[in-house]
Amino acid sequence: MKSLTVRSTLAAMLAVLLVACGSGGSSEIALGEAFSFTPAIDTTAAYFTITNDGDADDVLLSASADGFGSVELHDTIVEGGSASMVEQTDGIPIPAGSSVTLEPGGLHVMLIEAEDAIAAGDEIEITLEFENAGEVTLVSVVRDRGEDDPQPMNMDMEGMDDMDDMGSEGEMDMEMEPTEAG
Amino acid sequence: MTALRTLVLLLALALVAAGCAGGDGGDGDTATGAATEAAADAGDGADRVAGGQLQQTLIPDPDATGYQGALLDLPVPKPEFVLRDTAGKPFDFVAETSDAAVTFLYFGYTTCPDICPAHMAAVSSALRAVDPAVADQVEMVFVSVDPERDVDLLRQYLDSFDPTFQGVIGTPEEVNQVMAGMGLHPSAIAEDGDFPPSHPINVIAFTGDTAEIAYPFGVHGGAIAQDLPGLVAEGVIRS
Repeated sequence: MKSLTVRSTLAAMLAVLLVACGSGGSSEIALGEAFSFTPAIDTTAAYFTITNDGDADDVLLSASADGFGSVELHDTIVEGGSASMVEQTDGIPIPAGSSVTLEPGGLHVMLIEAEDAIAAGDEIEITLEFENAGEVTLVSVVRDRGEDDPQPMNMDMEGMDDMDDMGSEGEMDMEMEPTEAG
Repeated sequence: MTALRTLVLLLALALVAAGCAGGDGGDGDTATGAATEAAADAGDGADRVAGGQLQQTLIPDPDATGYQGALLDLPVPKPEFVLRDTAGKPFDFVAETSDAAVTFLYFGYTTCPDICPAHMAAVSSALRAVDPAVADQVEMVFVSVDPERDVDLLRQYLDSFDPTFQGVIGTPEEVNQVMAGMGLHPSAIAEDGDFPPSHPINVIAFTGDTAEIAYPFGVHGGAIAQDLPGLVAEGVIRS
């Protein structure tokens, strides 16, 4: 088991090495699990992490998905207690060797005007167009918005005791992203 | 095991470095959006000064305050306005919410993809989590900052969270007047068709004639539910 892990780690690193040493540099795009929420009407968003393991910068230029009126790349900017959505018309840069996370309150793929009802458990297939890596598809799994409230589960009576025991840091919850969400 | 893996990692990284002479440089640094430092845009009236707190980055401090929401240093007076409800009938904010022990007020829009629905989902789950006797004394009022688009959508939008949520529609000018009067940045848009209006990120909670607490984005329903019984029973008590 141990040697297997070591071997696979080594293999992975060598794979990265091979990619990284490719002629002229390249981007190696890996996507994390994607999720969306059930829309209140017909607009929702997709969230996921994009990792560029290559040695060349890349840019997520656009996204598309069947069954929507339009699909746009947006960032939610929070400034002075106000939030606004800003379309990322130049795309979302994914520098070499870094990860960019699309998450609630921040960058997202906005899925506008769904043609059909979207329910929890549905899967939305999205095609991402990268400047270097080209087209990459991903599947965003739809979560019930109402269930997106980890606190009642995490913050049961024990959780409340935990809170009292917490230091002055006072982080309310692992999921808390109070203000720097922009 | 961990040490071994680290060793392997280091070895591999050394290989990479050796293999691609001088090829690295842009590593590891995740550039995130600039942290925003809020400057309160205080207007001239006392109401506006108090309301300006709501245009700041609010961070709850439950250990110090006992509340999951963020306490406001200055009480924000309940605004007086009469606009329309989702059925087109006059909606007098003060009169409609006079019986409520707690009135949540939020400025948002239906096509907002994540902050607005996250807040609405949080409030609705909080109301489901508390004793119905508590929930009955809470009103949620959502004022659209994209009224021309939302006039036909707001009822359906709010119903998807909680049919008791009240939706308010005005002309963009009317909504901006309400916001400015409270010391908020007027942000209702006049023209349909273009995203997005910016809007205040905090849900304001009035207890009685003033608001002394607000809920920033990221506070979950369970946290709001912890505050509600106390807010309903006795308003904000500062420790």
